Amino acid sequence: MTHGKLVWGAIALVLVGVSSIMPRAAETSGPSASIPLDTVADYIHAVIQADREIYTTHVVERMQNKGIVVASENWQEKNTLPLPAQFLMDSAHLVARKTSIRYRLLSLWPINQKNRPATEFERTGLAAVITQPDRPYTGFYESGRKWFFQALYADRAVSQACVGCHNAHPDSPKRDFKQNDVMGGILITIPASQ
Amino acid sequence: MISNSVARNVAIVTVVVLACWSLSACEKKPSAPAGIPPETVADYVHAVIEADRTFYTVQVVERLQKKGVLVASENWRVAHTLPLPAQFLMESSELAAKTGTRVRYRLIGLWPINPQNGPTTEFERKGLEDIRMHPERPYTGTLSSGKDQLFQAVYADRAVTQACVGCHNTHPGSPKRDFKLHDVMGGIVITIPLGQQSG
Repeated sequence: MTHGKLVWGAIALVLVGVSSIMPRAAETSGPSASIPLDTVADYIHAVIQADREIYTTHVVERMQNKGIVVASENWQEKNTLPLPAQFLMDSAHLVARKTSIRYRLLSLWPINQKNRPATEFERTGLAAVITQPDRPYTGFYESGRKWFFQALYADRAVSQACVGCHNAHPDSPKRDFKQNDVMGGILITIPASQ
Repeated sequence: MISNSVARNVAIVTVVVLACWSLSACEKKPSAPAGIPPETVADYVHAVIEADRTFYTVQVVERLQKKGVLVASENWRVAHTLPLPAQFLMESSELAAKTGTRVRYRLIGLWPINPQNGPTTEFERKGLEDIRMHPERPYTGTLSSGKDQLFQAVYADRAVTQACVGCHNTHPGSPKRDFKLHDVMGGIVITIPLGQQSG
């Protein structure tokens, strides 16, 4: 009797297991059908990173070194350049208006309190990329019955300007950054449910 | 008796194993949405490129030119000037390629000031023609390069500011001199690898 029930139970579980795998097999069929989410995040990160680096080196640092114009936090009221971090944040707002991806800067020692980690994932991720800056910390979360993929990339002090400002700013909670240190992270969020 | 209890044990173990397997299959479901169609990926990449260049053009180049702080010019490397918005995009594209990422992006046009930025393939030529007629959506396709499959998308690139028009209409190297604001001047082509062809 028990034996018979167990066999039926086993069959039922096989069916459940198979049915939960089936749609996945269909989704990934065909090599050209889709790009893996971590690769998508890598591509987005590569563009964000390249644009900000060009802005930092060819615009901000070059202009400051030549003594033509400086970058400052209150650039909108002054005749100055936006800071590299502001360049990234403001562009992210433009992207958010046009697509469903989101990205932002965050840190354990932010000058602006809004950029502190807000979730357990963000807190754990920041700790992870400080120890392993060569690869992003990734994960999924669910919101409103939709899945989102997140990737947090280490964000380093690429120029002396980053270090100088963070070490001198009155609101900065950490003042001993060195060039190339991981100062925080770039968090990219991509909708994962189609 | 013995065979019966053995059978029961086997059945119990089977149930437990299958239960774990089923649950882990269900649990993996969140990480299961394996990927995103290349069209959507190109849209994301394009949005970032576009946003960064727009911010640079409007909040840096135009703003500081109007205030008389500085100007942008083609020979920015040797002058005390800013890179032109088109040069900003090209510099970023070269830098991204150097970092080892496999996504590629560049500007192309049917009337480029720099002849290097003309269409290099039949796909790019067709794409540039197509987006002049339908600038609201990209021209897309899948191409083979050796064993590799590549997805390409050409997005219309418009004259977003008077600075684009002014420069292209007066530059001695420009093959077209009657651009107007918001005209489609060329395209941004984005290339995304799709992996190797099976078979």
